[in-house]
Amino acid sequence: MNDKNLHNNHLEEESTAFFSKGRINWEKPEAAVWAELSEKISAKPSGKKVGLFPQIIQYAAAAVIFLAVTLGAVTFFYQKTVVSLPGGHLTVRFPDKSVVRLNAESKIKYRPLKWNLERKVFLEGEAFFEVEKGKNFSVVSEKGITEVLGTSFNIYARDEKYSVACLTGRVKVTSDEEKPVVLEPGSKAELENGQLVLQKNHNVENIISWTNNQFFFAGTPLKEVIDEIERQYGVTIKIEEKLDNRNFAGNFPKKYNVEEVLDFVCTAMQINFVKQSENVFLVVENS
Amino acid sequence: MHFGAIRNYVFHRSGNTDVATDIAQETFLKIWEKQHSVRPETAKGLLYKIAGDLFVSHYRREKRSFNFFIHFVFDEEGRTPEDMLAFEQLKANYKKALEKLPEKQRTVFLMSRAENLKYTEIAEILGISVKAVEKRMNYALKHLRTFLNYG
Repeated sequence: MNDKNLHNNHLEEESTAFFSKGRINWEKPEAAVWAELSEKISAKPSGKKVGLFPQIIQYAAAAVIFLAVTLGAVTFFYQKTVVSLPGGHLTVRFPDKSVVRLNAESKIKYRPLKWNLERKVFLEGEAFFEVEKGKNFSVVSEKGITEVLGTSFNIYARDEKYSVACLTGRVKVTSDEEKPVVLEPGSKAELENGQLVLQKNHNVENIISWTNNQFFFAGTPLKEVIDEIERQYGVTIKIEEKLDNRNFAGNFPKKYNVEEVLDFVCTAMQINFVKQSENVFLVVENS
Repeated sequence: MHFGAIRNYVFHRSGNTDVATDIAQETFLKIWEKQHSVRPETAKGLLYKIAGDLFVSHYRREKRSFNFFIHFVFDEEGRTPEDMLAFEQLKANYKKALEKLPEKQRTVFLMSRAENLKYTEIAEILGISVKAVEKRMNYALKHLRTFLNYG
């Protein structure tokens, strides 16, 4: 082992000494080759210099596509929801100046960014629409769809009840598996036992009286009247079941307070109401 | 500039000055084209990498015999004829040994001897570990010993 190392050491010294005396015999000195190279480089137009640009353009293109897709998605899926609480009314103005007035405890959903392509509103509750002339305007509720051109109309869509009243223009009402009904001004369509029943020459002004804080009832089941009072005043009113289907006719403005209104209704129906606690009432038959 | 170093490196791999000059030029043209995407800290390594790759493709195209001492010359002034004779003999032995030595070991050996590079520098240039450089160097010395009649 030592022997070998000795040889190696000797060889290392010798080879180092040997090669250190020599030099590479270049045909062309470095400076000459470098000058040649510089010429070749300048002969190559800086076309190659823009090597970075395609990459930047690629990134830019990717960014633009990403933005476009995102914007498109936002436009298509961005949905605005407006809810009116019990006791409150709301007016919503759509991008094309169409207006919807929401009665108490109602909800609409629509896509404002997509509005110019599709005027479509999802409605739960009651609302009065004044639609600007333009493309098809449709209101989708659980029990039916109402399509219109420029017009004004009221939709009542609560629980099982679906009722549309047309004030101006023409509207087309469709419910599940039902033939569409076209409403002229002054007519109303109401869902009865799954069928749309058309009533012409209806006093539709009364139907939208709520927009002026007036409440009209004509032969309306007491349950519905009480529900409306609950919604308008944001209170809870319990009613004996046997009274549900008695009909009530009359009207009251919202400026009266809930006890005054209940008193008015109960007197007319010859029944009584008891205030159980703040905002809770019980309507009972006369004892 | 790394130009001289790159040219020397290719010379020690090829043993041919024309090849070394051509490849060094081509290497710098390539790096010029890529200059925008080259980071300064990696430029040196990239130069050796490009030169090595170019050499390999060149070498595959036309395999030349390794004739080192055509282009690697010695000053012969002030030598006695006896010295000359012994020196020529030694040169002939080295020539034969270098021809037979596998390329990888030969490059490491020449970079160390003729270029005077440290093992760490060689390792960096070739992109291998210092251990690998030592291993190749030991192999080269062992090989040379048989050819130079030390064995």
